[in-house]
Amino acid sequence: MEIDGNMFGAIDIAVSGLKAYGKQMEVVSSNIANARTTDAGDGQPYRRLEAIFKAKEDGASGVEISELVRDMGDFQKILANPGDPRADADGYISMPNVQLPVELINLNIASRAYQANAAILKRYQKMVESSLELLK
Amino acid sequence: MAGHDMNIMNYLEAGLKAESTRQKAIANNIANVNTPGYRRSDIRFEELLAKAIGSKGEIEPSELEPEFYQPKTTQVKANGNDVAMDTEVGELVKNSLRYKTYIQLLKKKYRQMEMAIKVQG
Amino acid sequence: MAVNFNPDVSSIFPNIEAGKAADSTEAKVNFGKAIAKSLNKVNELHDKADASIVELLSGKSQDINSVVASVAKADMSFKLLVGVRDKLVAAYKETMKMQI
Repeated sequence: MEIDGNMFGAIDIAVSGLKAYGKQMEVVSSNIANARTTDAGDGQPYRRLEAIFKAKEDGASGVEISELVRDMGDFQKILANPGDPRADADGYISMPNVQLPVELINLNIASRAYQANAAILKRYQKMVESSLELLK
Repeated sequence: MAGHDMNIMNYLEAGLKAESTRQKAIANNIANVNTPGYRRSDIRFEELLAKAIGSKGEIEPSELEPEFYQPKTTQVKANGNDVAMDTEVGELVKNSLRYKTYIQLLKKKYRQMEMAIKVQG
Repeated sequence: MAVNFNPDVSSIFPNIEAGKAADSTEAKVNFGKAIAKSLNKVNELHDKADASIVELLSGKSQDINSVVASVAKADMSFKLLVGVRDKLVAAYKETMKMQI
């Protein structure tokens, strides 16, 4: 792990944070939008998506979304109205394994983290500008 | 010392020109964040300057023009566009810091020349 | 930047009594040496600062902070030299005004 003089490193790391948490927002909004999607194209309900965060490298590095995985948890089953074409043999409809409270918590986390990264960018810019004051 | 200093000031002015051109490129990228097929553009300058300095006078830094080019290093989205707002914001921050630095350095140089010429007291 | 500095300051004190000649010559030489040394130091710092500016401009380094530090250092030593020069010139002018 080297400590080099790349002072724009902080900027790149903050930008990677913006990208990663922006992606997380995408995932959360996809889950929320599809919370009631009983047919995601192949007859199966929508499966919840989850973003896996990974540090870019050892040491002081940025973050990235390494992959988007499907939550393989069980679908929730709800009782169908009689005659509903989507009902299975037992009269139940499978709903997506999306839980709104969980998604909203993730939304909050992503939003706060995104703002924190944006604040880093702004603060860092001010820091370097203040060191430029030495030359005034 | 005089000739050497004039060179540094020429380089700094070339750097200023490059950074302000680069800012136009970034603004263009941001404006086209959703344009299908649009690839982000950047400025080639730093390597050109390094080459000009290394050539020991064959290439004049004052003749250096910053060139637009498309790095094509970012991921392409489904619509052929490869602009990401976060990246552009980061580039804007770096660009603005470099610009301010060059300005301060130039100011410093001009003031040193003034001091050398003027005698107080 | 041409800094016209003549380390030989004997021209400022033209009328030295013979008895004090040895002492004052030594003092002159030491003072001259000191000025020459600080002139070299200013040049050295100045060249280092310029080199770091070129590194930043050519993209070899992204370290704005170290450029600022080396330029500030060079600038401080330069200001010191200029201050000494101005004082010497002022002293010279005063001397020239003196009625002999």
